[in-house]
Amino acid sequence: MLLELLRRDLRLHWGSLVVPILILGMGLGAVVMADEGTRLTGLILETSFLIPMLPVIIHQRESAKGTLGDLLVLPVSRAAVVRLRYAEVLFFTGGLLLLAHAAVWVELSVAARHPIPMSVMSRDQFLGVGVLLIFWFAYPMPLFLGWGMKGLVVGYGSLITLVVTLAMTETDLHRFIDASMARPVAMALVLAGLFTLSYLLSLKFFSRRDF
Amino acid sequence: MSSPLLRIDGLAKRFPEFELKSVSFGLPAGLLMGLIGPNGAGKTTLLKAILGLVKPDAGMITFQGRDLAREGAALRARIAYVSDEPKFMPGVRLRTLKEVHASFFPAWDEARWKSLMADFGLDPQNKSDTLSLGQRTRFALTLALSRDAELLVLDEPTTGLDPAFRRELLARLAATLDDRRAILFSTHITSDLEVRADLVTLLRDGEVVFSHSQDALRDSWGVVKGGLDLLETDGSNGFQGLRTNAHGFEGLTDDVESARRRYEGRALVERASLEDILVLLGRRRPEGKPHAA
Repeated sequence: MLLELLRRDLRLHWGSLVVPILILGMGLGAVVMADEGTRLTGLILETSFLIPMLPVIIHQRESAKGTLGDLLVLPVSRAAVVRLRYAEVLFFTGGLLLLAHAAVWVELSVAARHPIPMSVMSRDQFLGVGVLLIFWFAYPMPLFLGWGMKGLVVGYGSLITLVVTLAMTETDLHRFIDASMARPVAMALVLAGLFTLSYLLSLKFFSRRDF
Repeated sequence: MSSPLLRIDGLAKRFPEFELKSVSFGLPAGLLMGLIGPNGAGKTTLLKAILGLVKPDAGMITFQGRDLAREGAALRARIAYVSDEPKFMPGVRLRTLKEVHASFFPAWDEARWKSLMADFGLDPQNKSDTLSLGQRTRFALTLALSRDAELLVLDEPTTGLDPAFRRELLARLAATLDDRRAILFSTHITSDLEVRADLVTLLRDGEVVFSHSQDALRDSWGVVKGGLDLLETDGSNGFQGLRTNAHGFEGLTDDVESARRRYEGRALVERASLEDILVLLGRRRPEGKPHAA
């Protein structure tokens, strides 16, 4: 059922995904052409900030065009719709990272630079993508699915306020992040836990909405 | 007697401006039920609750004896819904919309869909945003009627349709009924129901006023027409609805035989049409005072 829903989204919304995907594609080109020291930072930022927008664009478009009700009267549960949004962010993130790897592998092959690494990202960089996805996707998503655009504005608004506040006050954020990155397994488990918590909250809020 | 295909028991839903109050009725297989009521009576909310779009505060809805709140996703494969204003993703061809829709229904009947599209004058190559309201409704009906659904829930499906097509649609709907299917049909156009509906349920202010067969309605409901001197001092005479003007009154009664005896030789007592019932019930004020015409 998840695959049917994903196929439905791609068929009905591809037109509105063209622009963000083009931006991602151009960004990907810039990432690959950049020198090794900076390209992965660009990739991480692009993945973490633009990818979460795709399921939000799809869901908001359904809502704005009045077709969310049609989706919900199909023989699918509300839990399946929530799972779809979370699956989409993983699908698009995985897809972009795979494309980025493929592009870099091709570039290294063409340049005849050996050996070609299995992963062009470090462990910390993967964790970095995870951390940013939690903040940029998993944090606002329950508010968005529960209260629509108002929820999204509150989610992003409070997130930006938090980041600005942390930046302006003397917090030991960097030391905390470094310490967290030093325990990658624990960090990965915490990220998975937060992602799951976000999913459960989204399910609770979305299930009780009237359409 | 076998249990109804669709059963609603004590359904309640409170909104800030409106409340559905303990709605109960049953719809047996093989029948077409018309759901009527003034604007804001709760018809659309009720239909949305059946589809799971609105979460009830209390009560239970069962389909084929199974709880729709618990098993809604699976049961919705057998329930087709056409909303009062069907909307489709703009810029998408009807053929694509159909393919996406059909992928969720294993019993999809492609030949029937093609036949309905031709009969309804729709081109699968057209894009959804080029359709009028009537064409969108027709397209939604092609999807609903091609799924082998056992319950059709139609919210004002004849709105925006021309009279000839309305008549054809009603005949088609009636033809789909068999011993495992039923239709729940909300409308303002009571003449549609008088021709085709087996049962009629009237909602007013979020409550069921009656849910009967048309024969039972014809036998019990009537309109009394007489002079103002016949009205009691509180102006109600126990009527379910009342309309007055300078020359007299029209009162709606749910006991036409008693009214005949009471007003014999003094007022005209006629059987009420669905339109009479809908119009006159809408004229009743909660405190029972008549509206001035």
